[in-house]
Formats: sequence, C-alpha cells, structure tokens
Amino acid sequence: MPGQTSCFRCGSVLESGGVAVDVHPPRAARWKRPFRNARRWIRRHSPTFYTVERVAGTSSAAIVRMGWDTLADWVDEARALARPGFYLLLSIVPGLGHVVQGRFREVRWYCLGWFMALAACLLLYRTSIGLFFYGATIGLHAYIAIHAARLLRLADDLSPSLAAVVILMACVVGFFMLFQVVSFGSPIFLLVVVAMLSWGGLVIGVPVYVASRDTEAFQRVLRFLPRVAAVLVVLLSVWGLYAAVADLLLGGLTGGYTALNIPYQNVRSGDYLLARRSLAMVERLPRGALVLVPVGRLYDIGTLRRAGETMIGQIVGLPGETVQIERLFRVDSVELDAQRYPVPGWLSARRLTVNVPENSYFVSCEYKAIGGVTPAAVQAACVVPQSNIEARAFMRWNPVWRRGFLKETE
Amino acid sequence: MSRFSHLEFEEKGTPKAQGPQGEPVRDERFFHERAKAAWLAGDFEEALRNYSRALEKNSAFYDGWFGQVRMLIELGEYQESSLWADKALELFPEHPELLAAKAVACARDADIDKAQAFSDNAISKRGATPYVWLARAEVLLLRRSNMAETCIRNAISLANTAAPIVRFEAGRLLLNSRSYLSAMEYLRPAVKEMPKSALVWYEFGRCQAALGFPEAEVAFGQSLKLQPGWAEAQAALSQFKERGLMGRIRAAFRRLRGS
Repeated sequence: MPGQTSCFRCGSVLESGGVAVDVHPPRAARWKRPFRNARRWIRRHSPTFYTVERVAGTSSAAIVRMGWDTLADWVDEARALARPGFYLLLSIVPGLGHVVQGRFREVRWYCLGWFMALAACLLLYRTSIGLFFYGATIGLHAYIAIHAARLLRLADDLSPSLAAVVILMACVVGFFMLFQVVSFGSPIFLLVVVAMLSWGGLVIGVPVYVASRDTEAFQRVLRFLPRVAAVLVVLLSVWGLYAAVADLLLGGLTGGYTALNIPYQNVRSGDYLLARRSLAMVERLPRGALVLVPVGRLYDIGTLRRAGETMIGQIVGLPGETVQIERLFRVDSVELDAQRYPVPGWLSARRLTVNVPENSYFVSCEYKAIGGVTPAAVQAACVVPQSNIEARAFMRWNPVWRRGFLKETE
Repeated sequence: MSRFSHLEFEEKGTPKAQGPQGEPVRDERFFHERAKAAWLAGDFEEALRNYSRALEKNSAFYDGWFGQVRMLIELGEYQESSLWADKALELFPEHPELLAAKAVACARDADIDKAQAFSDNAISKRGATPYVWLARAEVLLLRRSNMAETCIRNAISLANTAAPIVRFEAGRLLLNSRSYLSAMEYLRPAVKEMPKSALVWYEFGRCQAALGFPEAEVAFGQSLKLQPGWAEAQAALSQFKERGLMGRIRAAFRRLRGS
C-alpha cells in the first residue's frame, strides 16, 4: 500500500523512508586474520566443550560427560578414518573382517573356496597343481581382504568378480612359476621380466591412450589404476604373510628330489622327499639315511638338478670307513644289500675304493659324469662333510599315491 | 532515476528505462548484476563494493544485503558477515536466507553447534530457498551426515532458472568438504553451463587438481584467460605444475577413497 514502509506480515522494510542506513559492512583488520585462523584451527581440532560458552554454567559432572562424549566422538572419527586398514588387518584371518561387519554372507563362498584351496595346496605341496592352489589361496585371501576394506568396487570395473580372482590367481601363479623355472639374474629371467613389463605397459597404456579420446572413460581408467595398485599391494602383503607364517610353522621343514632308486624304501628316481633340518643335527647319522646335500661341482645331475642346488642322496659310508664299489657297495669289506643300498648307474661299471675322512660321509647320488669317472672325481662328488648335510628326509611326498614315511634301513 | 521507478507496474516485464545514449540506468539492479559478474569472476572485493553501491541506491534492496553477507563469507570474514547478517535481519526479520548465511558463517568459523542452530531455524521458516538447503548441506557435511546429499538435491530441485549457479555452489561446498568425486559431478555441468565464469573454471580446476587429473591445467588456464592475473588461479596452477611424488600419491589415494 502507498506509504507502507514495511511488510505488515513479516516486518521487512519495503522503503527506506529516508532514514539513513549505513550500508557499508564492517571489515576485518588484516592483523586479526592470523589470530582468527589460529583460533578457528584450535576450535576445529579440539574438544568442543573447551569453549567458554558451553562450559559456563555447567556442572563438573556434565563437563566430564561432555568430555567423555567428545572422546567417544574422536574415537569414532579415528575408527572411521582407520576403518579400511582395520578391516584389512582383521582379514589376516579370511572372513574375520566381514564377521565383525556382519557381512560374512557376502564372502562365505569365497571363504569356503579359500579353505579348500588351502587344503589342496597343503596336500599337493610341491606339485604344479599344488602351486596353482597356492596361488589360488593367496589370490582368494587377498580378494577377501580387499572386499572387507571395500577398497575395490569390482562391480564397477571388472563386472564378474570371479574374473578378478582368477586374474589375481594367475598373477601369483605366474610369478611363482617364473621363480620356479628360471633363477634370478639369468638372461631368461631378465627376458621374462622385460616381456612382462612390456605386456603390463601395453595392457595399461593402450586402454589409457584409447580412452584419452573420451574424457569420461579416461577418468574411469585413472580411477581404476590406483585400485590396481592397491590390489597389488594387498596381494604382495598376503604373499609376504604366507611366507612368514610358513617360515614360522614349517621353518625346519624342507625337501628335495632324488635321482636314486631304492626298492627297500619304495623310493624312485624323481620322487620328492620331505626332510627336516633338525634330524640332520645329530652327532652321527645312520647308514642308509636319505639326506639333503648340495650337488657336487664336478658332476652334473642332468635333467633333474643343476650344480649348486641340493638333492637327496643316501649315506653309504660313515666317517672313517672305506667304501668299495664293485657293482655293489662294500663297506670295510662287508657287502651291503643292493635292495637297501643300490649303486647308482654312473658308478655301477666301476671298481673304486674311497676312504671316508672323519666328520664326512660317503653319500651315494645319481650323477651324470661329464669328464670321466676318476677316483678323485668320485671322492669330490660323494664324500660330503657333515656340515654340508642340510636335512634328513623322513617322508616320500610326491607322487601322492606313494606318499608315506621312509623305513629305517638299519 | 525516474520518479515512477518505484511503481509496481514497472517492476515486472517492462524493460528498464534506458538513458539517452542507450546506457543502462545505474540503479540497484545494475549494481547487483555487476556484483554478480564480479563474484563469478572471483573478485569478491569488487562484488562487495557493487553490492554496497546497490544498497546506496536503495537500502531496502534485499539482494544487496544478502550479497554483502555472502561476499564477506567468501572473503573469510565470518564474524563480520555474522554481524552484518544480524543488521540485515533487523530490516528483514526472520529471513531464512539470512539465517542460513549466518549458519554458513558459523560453520566456516568452526562453530558447528551455532551453525546447526541457525540452519535449523532457517529451514523451519516458510519459503526455504536453494541457498537455505545448500547451507543445511554444508552444516551436515561438517557433521559428516549422509543427509547432505539429500539437501543438495532439494536445493537443485527448488532452483528453477538459477540451477546452474546452485549446481556450482553445491560442487563448491562438496569440494571444500573434500568430497572430490561428488564435487566433480556438479562442477562438470556447471562449467558447461557457465563457461564464461573464471570462478567456475577455477573451482573445477581445483577439484581436478585434487584428484590429480592433468586437465586441471586447462581449467586453470581457462580461468586465467577469463580473469588475467588472478593470483589464486596462478598460485593454484603453479602449485599443480610443481606437485611432487607425494602430491601424486595423495591424489591417487583421494581417487581411491572417493571411489
């Protein structure tokens, strides 16, 4: 209405009505700003009950309660920040992170798969299938941990989540196979590494290049890469965890292949025998014991092992004894049973006598002679100092159908 | 100013009277537009000056008061903005936007309890505007509440013609609360809708830089092209260019956390 200077409902001014109103706001002095910023920072990072307004007129019990609440808030906040790491840590036991979150149902099949893979891996240890299950165990464990920490939304990037697990498994198995087949530093190793890196570069680089034409896709790829890095970090951590646990629980356990055929002990060439280090730490090993020894430098075992590695051999001569080889072993002129102490093929056509020094054993191994079989060569290959004996075999492990404990020969 | 300028029939639909040479009339609307342009160019001091000029023309001009309060907040003078909002509330009692502005000032001044109280008050008033919902979202984001997204959606649904600005504001507050990927969802369309705003490009660049996207350089460059010599944009650009390994790792983790 004409002449109305303010709204009759809300009281807002409609006309200034000639009243002088200061329309220039107050401004903060420059020198005040750092102090204000500091106060703001303190307020943001300190318990809110310290502010004068809240403490004034409050009983001490209430202040304590407020303090407790604030502390609880802090703990909640810290937990929220550390939650992924916490669940990742809990997932040292697969599925525990999910149980705590009440999400176990989401990964129950994966946990079952992990358990079965672990059982298969332990049962088939040191076979190529066992190696596959080892990789599968690590891959599944890593996936469960990643799922618990919600580091990866597989549904977004790798639609069938099983595919992701298979990829992880393949990575681990591939890595293991690489170390199994070739040794560090060899040209083949370097070649394989270069090939893998090139392959990785292509796998990552080509999609990035192609996707760079489309900004959305490019950003999706960029979002995906850190997740891949996180997955790899978790994967390597789980791998390290398995290695540490295996070392802790099975540290004294080792094994090796043998090239011998010992009918009495049902051992055949190519068998993998489990050995225990502590069993070799005795003062004197018995005759017939199967022991893990380094392969002699002068002789090559051929297809099974290379020089510098270890293999399983049989103790025939004890310290101070004289071993004669004439189709059969004779120790101090006593003939040994060929079923229990077979003469390896490379020595069977020879007549040799070897004196075993103190603190050494005559260890029978199936070598492939390179430069002719001379007494010196036999001495160098078969006489092994006690300190070089790494472990004593106690069980036939592979093949699985002949698995069993070894019989004592004496 | 014409003597009939305050008559109601001139307020809507009718084009503003032009000066003899076609120059716009320098009334409160004129300065308001200039202030808005200065704000979108990232020049908050200039915007504040123009809002003051608008109020010099008409001290009952609500947008001028509200604009002043907002510019004080932009300039980081939260106590002054709160004080000025109180003064504006004397003229426009219980106005939800002014109460919401006070909530924002308190929230940015790390006084969350007060901010919550003002926001509650603002939202309880009739005629809540997009700004009221955005202020609510800002307070809730500080409280790490999941309801913030709902408030932002409410704000956008209420904004008709101002939707680009509201989207931009939503992106900004998400950016300031370090929800970078969510901020990107609002800032990307804002850049397309307001390609001539240096501030929009700058905020978009900040978001991209935080996530480590190399396109941040383009965004900062565009911002500097629109507002040559803008110190903030220049500093942000050089900081992005000189980011080290840790910066890249941080950005990667931000992408990871946001995913």
